[in-house]
Amino acid sequence: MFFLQVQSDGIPRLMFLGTLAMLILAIGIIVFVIFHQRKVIRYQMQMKQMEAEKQQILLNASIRFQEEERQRIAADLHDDAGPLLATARLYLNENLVNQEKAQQLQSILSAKQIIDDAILLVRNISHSLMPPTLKNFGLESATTDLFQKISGSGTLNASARFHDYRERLKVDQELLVFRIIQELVNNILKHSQAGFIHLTQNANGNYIYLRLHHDGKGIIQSEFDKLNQTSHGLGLKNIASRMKVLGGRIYFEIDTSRTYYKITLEIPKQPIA
Amino acid sequence: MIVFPIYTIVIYSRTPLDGFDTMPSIIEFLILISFLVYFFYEKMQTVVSYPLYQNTSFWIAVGLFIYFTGNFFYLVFIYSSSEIEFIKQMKFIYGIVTIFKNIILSLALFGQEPEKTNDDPDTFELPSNIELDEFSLTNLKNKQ
Repeated sequence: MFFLQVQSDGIPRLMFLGTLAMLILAIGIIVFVIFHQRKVIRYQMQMKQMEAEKQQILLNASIRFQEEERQRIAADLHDDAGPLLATARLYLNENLVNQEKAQQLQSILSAKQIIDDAILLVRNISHSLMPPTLKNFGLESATTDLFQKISGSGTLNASARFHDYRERLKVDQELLVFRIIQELVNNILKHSQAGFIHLTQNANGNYIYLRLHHDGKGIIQSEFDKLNQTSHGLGLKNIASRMKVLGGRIYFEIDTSRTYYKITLEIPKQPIA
Repeated sequence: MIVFPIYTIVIYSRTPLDGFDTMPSIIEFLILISFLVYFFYEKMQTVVSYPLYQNTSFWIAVGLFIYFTGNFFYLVFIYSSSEIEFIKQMKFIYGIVTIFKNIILSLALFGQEPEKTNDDPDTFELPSNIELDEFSLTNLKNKQ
Protein backbone atom coordinates (compact mmCIF):
# COMPACT_ATOMS: atom_id res chain seq x y z
CA MET A 1 0.00 0.00 0.00
CA PHE A 2 1.13 3.55 -0.74
CA PHE A 3 0.65 4.77 2.81
CA LEU A 4 2.66 1.94 4.23
CA GLN A 5 5.54 2.60 1.86
CA VAL A 6 6.22 5.99 3.45
CA GLN A 7 9.37 6.09 5.54
CA SER A 8 8.68 5.37 9.21
CA ASP A 9 9.87 8.79 10.50
CA GLY A 10 7.36 10.57 8.19
CA ILE A 11 4.36 8.48 9.28
CA PRO A 12 3.36 10.36 12.46
CA ARG A 13 3.38 13.63 10.50
CA LEU A 14 1.45 12.13 7.62
CA MET A 15 -1.10 10.59 9.96
CA PHE A 16 -1.52 13.83 11.85
CA LEU A 17 -1.93 15.88 8.66
CA GLY A 18 -4.22 13.27 7.11
CA THR A 19 -6.46 13.17 10.17
CA LEU A 20 -6.49 16.95 10.33
CA ALA A 21 -7.40 17.18 6.62
CA MET A 22 -10.18 14.62 7.03
CA LEU A 23 -11.60 16.42 10.05
CA ILE A 24 -11.46 19.80 8.28
CA LEU A 25 -13.19 18.23 5.29
CA ALA A 26 -15.85 16.64 7.51
CA ILE A 27 -16.49 19.85 9.45
CA GLY A 28 -16.56 21.76 6.14
CA ILE A 29 -19.24 19.43 4.78
CA ILE A 30 -21.31 19.71 7.97
CA VAL A 31 -21.04 23.53 8.04
CA PHE A 32 -21.92 23.71 4.35
CA VAL A 33 -25.01 21.50 4.89
CA ILE A 34 -26.16 23.64 7.85
CA PHE A 35 -25.65 26.94 6.00
CA HIS A 36 -27.28 25.66 2.84
CA GLN A 37 -30.29 24.49 4.81
CA ARG A 38 -30.53 27.87 6.58
CA LYS A 39 -30.52 29.53 3.17
CA VAL A 40 -33.35 27.24 2.06
CA ILE A 41 -35.34 28.10 5.21
CA ARG A 42 -34.83 31.83 4.56
CA TYR A 43 -36.08 31.33 1.01
CA GLN A 44 -39.09 29.42 2.34
CA MET A 45 -39.87 32.25 4.76
CA GLN A 46 -39.73 34.72 1.87
CA MET A 47 -42.15 32.51 -0.04
CA LYS A 48 -44.48 32.43 2.98
CA GLN A 49 -44.33 36.20 3.20
CA MET A 50 -45.22 36.42 -0.49
CA GLU A 51 -48.10 34.03 0.14
CA ALA A 52 -49.33 36.26 2.98
CA GLU A 53 -49.15 39.27 0.67
CA LYS A 54 -51.11 37.33 -1.93
CA GLN A 55 -53.76 36.54 0.68
CA GLN A 56 -53.93 40.23 1.49
CA ILE A 57 -54.48 41.03 -2.20
CA LEU A 58 -57.25 38.42 -2.31
CA LEU A 59 -58.87 39.87 0.77
CA ASN A 60 -58.71 43.38 -0.69
CA ALA A 61 -60.16 42.10 -3.95
CA SER A 62 -62.96 40.40 -2.05
CA ILE A 63 -63.77 43.60 -0.14
CA ARG A 64 -63.61 45.63 -3.36
CA PHE A 65 -65.92 43.16 -5.06
CA GLN A 66 -68.40 43.42 -2.19
CA GLU A 67 -68.31 47.21 -2.44
CA GLU A 68 -68.83 47.06 -6.20
CA GLU A 69 -71.77 44.70 -5.72
CA ARG A 70 -73.29 47.06 -3.14
CA GLN A 71 -72.80 49.99 -5.48
CA ARG A 72 -74.45 48.07 -8.30
CA ILE A 73 -77.47 47.22 -6.13
CA ALA A 74 -77.61 50.82 -4.90
CA ALA A 75 -77.45 52.06 -8.50
CA ASP A 76 -80.17 49.62 -9.60
CA LEU A 77 -82.43 50.73 -6.76
CA HIS A 78 -81.67 54.42 -7.18
CA ASP A 79 -81.78 54.61 -10.97
CA ASP A 80 -84.55 52.10 -11.72
CA ALA A 81 -86.74 51.47 -8.68
CA GLY A 82 -86.59 55.09 -7.41
CA PRO A 83 -87.94 56.77 -10.60
CA LEU A 84 -90.58 54.03 -11.06
CA LEU A 85 -91.97 54.54 -7.56
CA ALA A 86 -91.75 58.32 -7.92
CA THR A 87 -93.75 58.12 -11.17
CA ALA A 88 -96.34 55.87 -9.52
CA ARG A 89 -96.62 58.42 -6.73
CA LEU A 90 -97.25 61.15 -9.31
CA TYR A 91 -100.16 59.18 -10.76
CA LEU A 92 -101.57 58.71 -7.29
CA ASN A 93 -101.34 62.34 -6.14
CA GLU A 94 -103.88 64.23 -4.06
CA ASN A 95 -105.62 65.64 -7.16
CA LEU A 96 -106.66 62.15 -8.21
CA VAL A 97 -109.91 62.48 -6.22
CA ASN A 98 -110.84 65.68 -8.08
CA GLN A 99 -110.35 64.11 -11.52
CA GLU A 100 -112.99 62.51 -13.70
CA LYS A 101 -113.74 58.87 -13.17
CA ALA A 102 -112.25 57.71 -16.51
CA GLN A 103 -109.09 59.68 -15.87
CA GLN A 104 -108.94 58.32 -12.32
CA LEU A 105 -109.14 54.76 -13.67
CA GLN A 106 -106.47 55.50 -16.28
CA SER A 107 -104.14 56.92 -13.57
CA ILE A 108 -104.73 53.94 -11.29
CA LEU A 109 -104.03 51.48 -14.13
CA SER A 110 -100.83 53.35 -15.06
CA ALA A 111 -99.71 53.40 -11.41
CA LYS A 112 -100.48 49.67 -11.14
CA GLN A 113 -98.42 48.96 -14.25
CA ILE A 114 -95.49 50.97 -12.85
CA ILE A 115 -95.72 49.22 -9.47
CA ASP A 116 -95.72 45.85 -11.28
CA ASP A 117 -92.56 46.93 -13.10
CA ALA A 118 -91.01 47.97 -9.78
CA ILE A 119 -91.91 44.58 -8.25
CA LEU A 120 -90.30 42.81 -11.23
CA LEU A 121 -87.21 44.96 -10.89
CA VAL A 122 -86.88 44.24 -7.17
CA ARG A 123 -87.39 40.54 -7.88
CA ASN A 124 -84.63 40.61 -10.52
CA ILE A 125 -82.26 42.32 -8.09
CA SER A 126 -83.16 39.77 -5.42
CA HIS A 127 -82.65 36.88 -7.85
CA SER A 128 -79.25 38.18 -8.84
CA LEU A 129 -78.30 38.14 -5.14
CA MET A 130 -79.65 34.67 -4.45
CA PRO A 131 -80.96 32.59 -7.35
CA PRO A 132 -84.30 31.04 -6.27
CA THR A 133 -83.54 27.73 -8.02
CA LEU A 134 -80.39 27.39 -5.95
CA LYS A 135 -82.18 28.17 -2.71
CA ASN A 136 -85.16 25.90 -3.34
CA PHE A 137 -83.75 23.03 -5.39
CA GLY A 138 -80.02 23.09 -4.77
CA LEU A 139 -76.76 23.33 -6.63
CA GLU A 140 -77.52 20.58 -9.15
CA SER A 141 -80.73 22.22 -10.41
CA ALA A 142 -79.28 25.73 -10.39
CA THR A 143 -76.18 24.66 -12.31
CA THR A 144 -78.16 22.58 -14.81
CA ASP A 145 -80.51 25.55 -15.23
CA LEU A 146 -77.58 27.89 -15.83
CA PHE A 147 -76.07 25.56 -18.45
CA GLN A 148 -79.43 25.08 -20.15
CA LYS A 149 -79.86 28.85 -20.40
CA ILE A 150 -76.38 29.19 -21.94
CA SER A 151 -77.02 26.34 -24.35
CA GLY A 152 -80.43 27.81 -25.17
CA SER A 153 -78.84 31.06 -26.30
CA GLY A 154 -77.36 29.07 -29.19
CA THR A 155 -73.89 30.60 -28.93
CA LEU A 156 -72.23 27.45 -27.62
CA ASN A 157 -72.94 23.93 -26.44
CA ALA A 158 -73.18 23.72 -22.66
CA SER A 159 -74.05 20.71 -20.53
CA ALA A 160 -73.77 19.68 -16.90
CA ARG A 161 -73.84 16.22 -15.41
CA PHE A 162 -74.04 15.44 -11.70
CA HIS A 163 -73.10 11.85 -10.88
CA ASP A 164 -73.32 11.80 -7.10
CA TYR A 165 -75.07 14.70 -5.43
CA ARG A 166 -77.53 12.88 -3.22
CA GLU A 167 -76.46 14.81 -0.15
CA ARG A 168 -76.86 18.58 -0.52
CA LEU A 169 -74.24 20.95 0.83
CA LYS A 170 -75.02 23.78 3.24
CA VAL A 171 -76.90 26.63 1.56
CA ASP A 172 -74.06 29.17 1.96
CA GLN A 173 -71.59 26.57 0.67
CA GLU A 174 -73.79 25.86 -2.34
CA LEU A 175 -74.01 29.57 -3.04
CA LEU A 176 -70.21 29.93 -2.96
CA VAL A 177 -69.77 26.94 -5.30
CA PHE A 178 -72.45 28.28 -7.62
CA ARG A 179 -70.80 31.72 -7.70
CA ILE A 180 -67.47 30.10 -8.56
CA ILE A 181 -69.09 28.13 -11.40
CA GLN A 182 -70.85 31.31 -12.59
CA GLU A 183 -67.57 33.25 -12.55
CA LEU A 184 -65.71 30.48 -14.39
CA VAL A 185 -68.46 30.15 -17.00
CA ASN A 186 -68.58 33.92 -17.34
CA ASN A 187 -64.83 34.04 -17.95
CA ILE A 188 -65.07 31.23 -20.50
CA LEU A 189 -67.90 33.05 -22.32
CA LYS A 190 -66.04 36.37 -22.23
CA HIS A 191 -62.46 35.40 -23.01
CA SER A 192 -62.12 31.87 -24.34
CA GLN A 193 -64.24 31.77 -27.52
CA ALA A 194 -65.10 28.20 -26.63
CA GLY A 195 -67.39 25.98 -28.70
CA PHE A 196 -68.54 23.94 -25.72
CA ILE A 197 -68.52 23.87 -21.92
CA HIS A 198 -69.14 20.69 -20.03
CA LEU A 199 -69.39 20.27 -16.28
CA THR A 200 -69.04 16.95 -14.47
CA GLN A 201 -69.63 16.36 -10.78
CA ASN A 202 -68.66 13.43 -8.62
CA ALA A 203 -68.09 12.70 -4.95
CA ASN A 204 -65.57 10.72 -2.98
CA GLY A 205 -65.45 10.39 0.80
CA ASN A 206 -65.74 13.80 2.36
CA TYR A 207 -65.20 15.73 -0.87
CA ILE A 208 -67.17 16.67 -3.90
CA TYR A 209 -65.39 17.21 -7.20
CA LEU A 210 -66.46 19.40 -10.09
CA ARG A 211 -64.68 19.61 -13.40
CA LEU A 212 -65.30 22.09 -16.19
CA HIS A 213 -64.07 21.28 -19.68
CA HIS A 214 -63.98 23.79 -22.51
CA ASP A 215 -62.30 23.93 -25.89
CA GLY A 216 -61.51 27.64 -25.92
CA LYS A 217 -58.47 29.62 -24.91
CA GLY A 218 -57.86 28.80 -21.27
CA ILE A 219 -55.27 29.17 -18.55
CA ILE A 220 -53.16 26.72 -16.59
CA GLN A 221 -52.40 26.73 -12.86
CA SER A 222 -49.19 28.76 -13.10
CA GLU A 223 -51.02 31.48 -15.03
CA PHE A 224 -53.84 31.45 -12.48
CA ASP A 225 -51.32 31.84 -9.62
CA LYS A 226 -49.56 34.62 -11.51
CA LEU A 227 -52.80 36.50 -12.22
CA ASN A 228 -53.74 36.17 -8.56
CA GLN A 229 -50.59 38.01 -7.54
CA THR A 230 -51.20 40.97 -9.82
CA SER A 231 -53.73 43.75 -9.43
CA HIS A 232 -55.63 42.47 -12.49
CA GLY A 233 -58.16 39.65 -12.64
CA LEU A 234 -60.68 40.59 -9.95
CA GLY A 235 -62.90 37.65 -10.96
CA LEU A 236 -60.09 35.14 -10.51
CA LYS A 237 -59.25 36.65 -7.13
CA ASN A 238 -62.87 36.22 -6.10
CA ILE A 239 -62.70 32.59 -7.15
CA ALA A 240 -59.54 32.11 -5.09
CA SER A 241 -60.98 33.85 -2.03
CA ARG A 242 -64.23 31.87 -2.29
CA MET A 243 -62.23 28.65 -2.56
CA LYS A 244 -60.37 29.69 0.56
CA VAL A 245 -63.64 30.22 2.43
CA LEU A 246 -64.81 26.79 1.25
CA GLY A 247 -61.51 25.24 2.33
CA GLY A 248 -61.23 23.61 -1.08
CA ARG A 249 -58.80 23.61 -3.96
CA ILE A 250 -58.96 24.64 -7.59
CA TYR A 251 -56.70 23.42 -10.36
CA PHE A 252 -56.41 24.75 -13.92
CA GLU A 253 -54.83 22.51 -16.54
CA ILE A 254 -54.79 21.64 -20.20
CA ASP A 255 -55.68 18.14 -21.31
CA THR A 256 -52.85 15.87 -22.45
CA SER A 257 -54.37 15.91 -25.96
CA ARG A 258 -54.08 19.74 -25.74
CA THR A 259 -57.54 20.08 -27.29
CA TYR A 260 -59.38 21.36 -24.24
CA TYR A 261 -58.83 22.92 -20.85
CA LYS A 262 -59.91 21.50 -17.52
CA ILE A 263 -60.71 23.27 -14.28
CA THR A 264 -61.10 20.98 -11.30
CA LEU A 265 -62.65 21.96 -7.97
CA GLU A 266 -62.25 19.92 -4.81
CA ILE A 267 -64.67 20.96 -2.08
CA PRO A 268 -64.95 19.45 1.40
CA LYS A 269 -68.53 18.43 2.17
CA GLN A 270 -70.48 20.28 4.84
CA PRO A 271 -73.88 18.60 4.55
CA ILE A 272 -76.99 20.41 5.76
CA ALA A 273 -77.85 19.35 9.28
CA MET B 1 -24.04 -5.08 -0.53
CA ILE B 2 -23.25 -8.77 -1.05
CA VAL B 3 -19.70 -8.43 -2.37
CA PHE B 4 -18.32 -6.67 0.71
CA PRO B 5 -19.42 -9.27 3.34
CA ILE B 6 -18.10 -12.08 1.11
CA TYR B 7 -14.80 -10.23 0.70
CA THR B 8 -14.62 -9.65 4.48
CA ILE B 9 -15.26 -13.33 5.25
CA VAL B 10 -12.60 -14.41 2.73
CA ILE B 11 -10.02 -11.96 4.10
CA TYR B 12 -10.63 -12.86 7.76
CA SER B 13 -10.55 -16.59 7.04
CA ARG B 14 -7.12 -16.18 5.41
CA THR B 15 -5.72 -13.97 8.18
CA PRO B 16 -3.70 -15.78 10.91
CA LEU B 17 -5.33 -15.91 14.32
CA ASP B 18 -2.78 -13.59 15.94
CA GLY B 19 -3.02 -11.01 13.13
CA PHE B 20 -5.58 -8.46 11.91
CA ASP B 21 -5.99 -7.26 8.31
CA THR B 22 -7.14 -3.64 8.32
CA MET B 23 -8.18 -3.57 4.66
CA PRO B 24 -11.83 -4.69 5.26
CA SER B 25 -12.11 -2.08 8.02
CA ILE B 26 -10.69 0.65 5.75
CA ILE B 27 -13.23 -0.27 3.05
CA GLU B 28 -15.96 -0.36 5.69
CA PHE B 29 -14.96 3.14 6.87
CA LEU B 30 -15.02 4.42 3.28
CA ILE B 31 -18.46 2.88 2.66
CA LEU B 32 -19.84 4.40 5.87
CA ILE B 33 -18.33 7.82 5.06
CA SER B 34 -19.92 7.62 1.61
CA PHE B 35 -23.30 6.76 3.13
CA LEU B 36 -23.03 9.64 5.57
CA VAL B 37 -22.13 12.08 2.78
CA TYR B 38 -25.18 10.78 0.89
CA PHE B 39 -27.28 11.25 4.04
CA PHE B 40 -26.17 14.91 4.26
CA TYR B 41 -26.91 15.35 0.57
CA GLU B 42 -30.44 13.98 1.12
CA LYS B 43 -30.90 16.30 4.09
CA MET B 44 -29.97 19.23 1.87
CA GLN B 45 -32.55 18.16 -0.70
CA THR B 46 -35.38 17.72 1.81
CA VAL B 47 -37.29 20.91 2.44
CA VAL B 48 -38.17 21.32 6.09
CA SER B 49 -39.38 24.38 7.94
CA TYR B 50 -37.04 24.05 10.95
CA PRO B 51 -33.23 24.21 11.20
CA LEU B 52 -31.32 21.00 10.64
CA TYR B 53 -29.52 21.30 13.97
CA GLN B 54 -32.85 20.57 15.71
CA ASN B 55 -32.84 17.16 14.10
CA THR B 56 -31.65 14.23 16.22
CA SER B 57 -30.66 12.04 13.27
CA PHE B 58 -28.54 14.88 11.88
CA TRP B 59 -26.44 15.07 15.07
CA ILE B 60 -26.08 11.28 15.21
CA ALA B 61 -24.80 11.42 11.62
CA VAL B 62 -22.43 14.29 12.53
CA GLY B 63 -21.02 12.28 15.46
CA LEU B 64 -20.44 9.21 13.32
CA PHE B 65 -19.03 11.29 10.46
CA ILE B 66 -16.45 12.91 12.76
CA TYR B 67 -15.59 9.52 14.19
CA PHE B 68 -15.10 7.76 10.84
CA THR B 69 -13.22 10.59 9.15
CA GLY B 70 -11.07 11.34 12.25
CA ASN B 71 -10.07 7.72 12.73
CA PHE B 72 -9.59 6.87 9.09
CA PHE B 73 -5.84 7.55 9.07
CA TYR B 74 -5.51 5.90 12.47
CA LEU B 75 -6.82 2.71 10.90
CA VAL B 76 -4.61 3.07 7.80
CA PHE B 77 -1.39 3.45 9.81
CA ILE B 78 -2.23 1.26 12.78
CA TYR B 79 0.49 -1.35 12.04
CA SER B 80 2.97 0.91 10.30
CA SER B 81 5.18 1.64 13.33
CA SER B 82 5.79 0.23 16.78
CA GLU B 83 7.44 3.33 18.26
CA ILE B 84 6.01 4.31 21.62
CA GLU B 85 5.73 7.99 20.64
CA PHE B 86 3.80 7.06 17.53
CA ILE B 87 1.42 4.77 19.42
CA LYS B 88 0.87 7.52 22.00
CA GLN B 89 0.06 10.00 19.25
CA MET B 90 -2.35 7.51 17.66
CA LYS B 91 -4.07 6.84 20.96
CA PHE B 92 -4.29 10.59 21.57
CA ILE B 93 -5.97 11.24 18.21
CA TYR B 94 -8.28 8.25 18.63
CA GLY B 95 -9.20 9.36 22.16
CA ILE B 96 -9.93 12.97 21.14
CA VAL B 97 -12.05 11.94 18.15
CA THR B 98 -13.97 9.33 20.19
CA ILE B 99 -14.67 11.79 23.04
CA PHE B 100 -15.82 14.36 20.49
CA LYS B 101 -18.13 11.76 18.88
CA ASN B 102 -19.59 10.74 22.26
CA ILE B 103 -20.28 14.37 23.21
CA ILE B 104 -22.09 14.94 19.91
CA LEU B 105 -24.12 11.72 20.27
CA SER B 106 -25.08 12.74 23.82
CA LEU B 107 -26.17 16.17 22.59
CA ALA B 108 -28.23 14.51 19.85
CA LEU B 109 -30.46 13.02 22.54
CA PHE B 110 -31.54 16.52 23.60
CA GLY B 111 -32.61 17.50 20.09
CA GLN B 112 -36.37 17.91 19.68
CA GLU B 113 -37.87 17.91 16.24
CA PRO B 114 -40.84 20.23 15.73
CA GLU B 115 -44.08 18.50 14.74
CA LYS B 116 -44.46 18.00 11.05
CA THR B 117 -47.27 19.83 9.25
CA ASN B 118 -48.69 18.80 5.93
CA ASP B 119 -49.54 21.90 3.91
CA ASP B 120 -48.40 21.31 0.39
CA PRO B 121 -50.65 23.30 -1.92
CA ASP B 122 -48.75 22.61 -5.10
CA THR B 123 -49.90 19.09 -5.72
CA PHE B 124 -53.37 18.15 -6.87
CA GLU B 125 -54.28 14.55 -7.34
CA LEU B 126 -57.75 13.18 -7.71
CA PRO B 127 -58.65 9.97 -5.85
CA SER B 128 -58.07 7.00 -8.14
CA ASN B 129 -61.69 5.80 -8.02
CA ILE B 130 -63.24 9.08 -9.14
CA GLU B 131 -64.29 9.68 -12.73
CA LEU B 132 -64.62 13.21 -14.02
CA ASP B 133 -63.52 12.74 -17.62
CA GLU B 134 -66.30 10.45 -18.81
CA PHE B 135 -67.01 12.99 -21.50
CA SER B 136 -65.08 13.14 -24.74
CA LEU B 137 -65.16 15.38 -27.78
CA THR B 138 -66.68 12.58 -29.87
CA ASN B 139 -69.52 12.10 -27.34
CA LEU B 140 -70.25 15.77 -27.46
CA LYS B 141 -70.28 15.88 -31.25
CA ASN B 142 -72.69 12.89 -31.28
CA LYS B 143 -75.01 14.78 -28.95
CA GLN B 144 -75.06 17.73 -31.31
